Amino acid sequence: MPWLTGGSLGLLFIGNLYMVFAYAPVERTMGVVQKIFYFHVASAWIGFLAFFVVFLCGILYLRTRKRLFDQIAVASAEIGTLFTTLVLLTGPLWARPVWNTWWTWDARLTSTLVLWFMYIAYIILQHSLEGDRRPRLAAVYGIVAFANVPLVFFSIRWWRSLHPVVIATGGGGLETSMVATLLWSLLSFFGLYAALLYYRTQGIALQQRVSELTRLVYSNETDTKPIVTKPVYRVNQEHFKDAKEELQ
Amino acid sequence: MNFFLIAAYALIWLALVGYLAVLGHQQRRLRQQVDSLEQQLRRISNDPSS
Repeated sequence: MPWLTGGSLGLLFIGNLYMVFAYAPVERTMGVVQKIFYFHVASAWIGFLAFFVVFLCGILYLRTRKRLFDQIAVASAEIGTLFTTLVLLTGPLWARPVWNTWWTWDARLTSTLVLWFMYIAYIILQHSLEGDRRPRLAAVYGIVAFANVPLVFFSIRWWRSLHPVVIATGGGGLETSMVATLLWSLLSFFGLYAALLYYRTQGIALQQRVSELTRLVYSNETDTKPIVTKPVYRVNQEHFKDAKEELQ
Repeated sequence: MNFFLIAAYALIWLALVGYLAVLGHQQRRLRQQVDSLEQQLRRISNDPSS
């Protein structure tokens, strides 16, 4: 499984590199710096997807109280924050040569920064609370925080903004090869997101299991989790009783 | 500029895949920890003196 994941991601990445630097044409006015676009937009959309997963898992957790949804939500929030960090880093790299400034308090940029802070707060909340309150409060926070995602997406349409519009009605002005490259980047980033989500969720579940087991071993509470099955213990007791009787 | 961009692009990708590798390694370590704790618990439950 890890080799298969690594191999597929490697192929996607090599294909992505080829598409971005050899297949897609160099944009006439911005030049080669426009190629950051394929990385920046794909990271942003996967970040939005990750936050949508947090929102969805929040609803599912509140409805079912299954611990898996809480674990997926934490993992997805962490990965979404990672991708949003990449967006906030690659944006200024593109903006400096094109806008002649690293940062401006534009609606899109500001709302993205607010979004990043909101999910940092979500991660802090998930790691600072204890008990049953933690997943419940985090689920509610994850649902409410998602309201900022459409705000970030539509900010360039609702307010005056310097930020270019990628999807516009009547075509975004992108060439077919550029659209194909963007789609390939999205596929690659989605593959990476799916793999990261799978491993991180498993990691969180295992970490919780380790702390539960550690608590059981050190406090010797054998009846809180059915790992130490009582029937096994009783069978052993009977076995010892039989052995004692035989000896007498 | 083109070389710098390719290098930066590859570096960020490598960092992300590196993070994935760290997660994979962490998962293996945690599985070992779970196995050893479960063994410990089984030993405790089989020990009639405890």
